[in-house]
Amino acid sequence: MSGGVETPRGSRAGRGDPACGSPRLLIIIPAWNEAEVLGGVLVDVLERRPPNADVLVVSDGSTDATADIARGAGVRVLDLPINLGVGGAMRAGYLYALRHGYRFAVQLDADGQHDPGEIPSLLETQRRDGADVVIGARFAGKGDYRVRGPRRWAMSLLSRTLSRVCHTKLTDTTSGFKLSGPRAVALFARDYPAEYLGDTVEALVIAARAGLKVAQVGVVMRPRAGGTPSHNPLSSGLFLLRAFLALAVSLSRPRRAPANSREVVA
Amino acid sequence: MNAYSLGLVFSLLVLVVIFLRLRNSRMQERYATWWLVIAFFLILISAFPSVLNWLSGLVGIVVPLNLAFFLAGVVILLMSLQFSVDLSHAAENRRRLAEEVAILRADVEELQGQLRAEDPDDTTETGN
Repeated sequence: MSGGVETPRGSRAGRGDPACGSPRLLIIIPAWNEAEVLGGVLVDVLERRPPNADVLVVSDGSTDATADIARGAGVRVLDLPINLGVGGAMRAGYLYALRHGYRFAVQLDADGQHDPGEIPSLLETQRRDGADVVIGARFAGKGDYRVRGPRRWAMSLLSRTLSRVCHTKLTDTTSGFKLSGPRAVALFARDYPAEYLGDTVEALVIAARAGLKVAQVGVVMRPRAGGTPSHNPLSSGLFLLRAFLALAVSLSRPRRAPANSREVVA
Repeated sequence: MNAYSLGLVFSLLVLVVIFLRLRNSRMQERYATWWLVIAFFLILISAFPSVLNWLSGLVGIVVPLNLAFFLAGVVILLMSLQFSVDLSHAAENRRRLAEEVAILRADVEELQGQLRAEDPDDTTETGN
């Protein structure tokens, strides 16, 4: 397909030049109608990102000025013509990262909840543990992010189950703050579910079953720019039900050979 | 006009409608097969109601019409299952295309930016 585009692009970008020896990192920000907060978040990200990182905003079929604001900020923009959901936007981002030769990709939410200053700590964990996926976890001893009541029980039950699947201790499996290494980028560019919780729970199952190593590191979360998390027991129950349905479906899926992970680029 | 000929006329009408739809809407073979099988059985049963009686006797159903309802229900269920699967595939294909379009557009914009940067006569100016 467009494999031929990669070579000139790789040598063009001065900051992320592979000749510097630094790993090329792409910060992917999925955004759906985030025009109000995106400008401020981008200023912050551009200021505090690691020196070798490029920023890509994936406008997920936004009907407001999201894409224009991102272009105005001078970052790369994927403007999806239709709304695909967070998972869909992220897969487009991973595909872009793969095609343009980025070794690492970090997902960052457009609401400013994730601190770009924590990215070096994710990279450090990746190097130290040799992990393919590193989760920036909210309940790992760092920061004072709290969730109470039924939703907390649901999330901890989910984390315990996924810890067994991934053979490592995970405390926050619904965090969107994630670093992906080269193998994970190649895998997620091909297979990253668009459905509810697909980008968190199911993606971890896909990674674990493809033989990738998952790790986590505690991060400080900042308050969201808007919206409040729900503490309604009914919605928590529904959340748990959907999460475990997604978990059961993805776990029962037959394993696929990781060998054909290159088919997307070929 | 008795019930027998009414049923026959109606089932023939269904066959004609299905055939016209197949021809005019360019329905794919995988769906067309289902519909033709349905139309064929409808005519068969209308023309020879004894077939239904014989079949229901064979499987032990007292009221023959119940067998017809049962079979119709199963066929409709299977067809809507196939539709759900096909819709999911179509949505996945749409997703892939949307990703491709967005990436190609980003590439085009970047190339346009490079072209403008190389051409000083161009009055439009971009951020890079």
